[in-house]
Amino acid sequence: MFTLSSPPVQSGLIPLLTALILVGLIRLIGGPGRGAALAGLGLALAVLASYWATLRIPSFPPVGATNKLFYIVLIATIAGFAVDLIAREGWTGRAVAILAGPLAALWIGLEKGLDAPWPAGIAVLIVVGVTAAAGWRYHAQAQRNSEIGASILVLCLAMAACAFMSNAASSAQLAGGLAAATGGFLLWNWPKVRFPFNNAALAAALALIAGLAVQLALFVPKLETFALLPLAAIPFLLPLGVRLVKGNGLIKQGLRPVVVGLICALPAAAAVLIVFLTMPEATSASGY
Amino acid sequence: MTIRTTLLATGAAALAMAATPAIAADYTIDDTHTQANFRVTHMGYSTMWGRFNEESGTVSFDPANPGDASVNIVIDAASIDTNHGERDDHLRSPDFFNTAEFPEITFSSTSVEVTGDNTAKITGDLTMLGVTKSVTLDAVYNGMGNYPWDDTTEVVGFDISGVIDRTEFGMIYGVGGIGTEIKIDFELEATRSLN
Repeated sequence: MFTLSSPPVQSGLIPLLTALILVGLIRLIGGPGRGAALAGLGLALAVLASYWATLRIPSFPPVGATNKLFYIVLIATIAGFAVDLIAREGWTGRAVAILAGPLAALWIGLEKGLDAPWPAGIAVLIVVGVTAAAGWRYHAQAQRNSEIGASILVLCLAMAACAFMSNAASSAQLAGGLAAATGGFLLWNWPKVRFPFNNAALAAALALIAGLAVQLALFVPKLETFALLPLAAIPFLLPLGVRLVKGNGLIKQGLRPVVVGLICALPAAAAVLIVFLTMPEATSASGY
Repeated sequence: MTIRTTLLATGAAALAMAATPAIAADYTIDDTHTQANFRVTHMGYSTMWGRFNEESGTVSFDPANPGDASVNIVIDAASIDTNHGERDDHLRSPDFFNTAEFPEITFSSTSVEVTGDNTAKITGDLTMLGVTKSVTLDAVYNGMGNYPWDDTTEVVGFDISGVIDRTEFGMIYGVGGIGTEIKIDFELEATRSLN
């Protein structure tokens, strides 16, 4: 059961424990100032660890969408970490947050999108637009660490469920891996907020979400191209949760990400329902 | 022209024809009598068999000169069939054959080494998931002839088999559970019109 070839270990235990340990370790080594600011790197590294456990290291240069996802997360992590080291608050951080998703989406989907402008091209454009806007919004609310984490956690769990129902197991595992890594990060930040959801964590998360969204929409035959569209609302629901729970006491701090998570669960459930309802029958006569 | 010169001219023409190398004939793969089969171990407990239902291509072959033969095969990756609908959908996904991104698997021979009376090793470029690797396959020549009901069609048949490592083509999901070695058995029949 608890072997490296077990999906719950690859996409649950490994990213959760890796994020939990590395976030704490980076804070411990770096101290309360720099260490806390860089701790989010542990989340990004945990996503890479989950990819490795699920698929190992793909060859370089990568050819297919799944193999590109590893390098997308790796490049986003390096770019985000470099910004965290140099100038977290400047325009470079905002640029990395805004560009991580769109660049990932274009790398995976541009060729197919140009090949078939409808529906593939439109789907890629939507992912580009939504993840750019999400990067902007998340970066602008960077102090809402646990609320950002809660929304990404719910989004990834929904994406994992949709991918799993569509027979795209590795996509489901990678989305689950990001959810688990975010969970490991949140364990340090809930109920008391300790570390920022920094550029490394944000860039890695947005790049993987964008890459997976394009892969699922374009390359998974069993999934309707626009079935995941309700998930696009999730990054923009933070202000609603924040408005519902005002105040900075420990209970309010703990309650706010829970409320954000519950609000985000509505579009998440809608996406899962759409995938379930639009799922075609198995293409051959035989079935499980 | 004397009888002697006529005989000499005829003999010279016959010799010239005999000395000319035979030209290999071009055959079209007959999809209805061709199967691209594969098998792979499942967790080490059993061997799973599958096949592709749609393939096309050409064979160039002269039985007198088999070393000059060539073969080009195109397989529709989405036609995969393991007699299990849900599994076929998974095999079409980006986890395995990623058929939406890479709809075709192709093999194009680059050389043929004759190894026996009816056997040869065919080396060629196999392209799968956008990655091209040189592979060598074993071929058995089954024969050539006509259908009993149709003497205007010439048929040639081969069995081609070999082993590839799927991870070399970037198919890296499920390593450890699903085997990395894929055994290929390609039962090939190709035809040409004699009209």
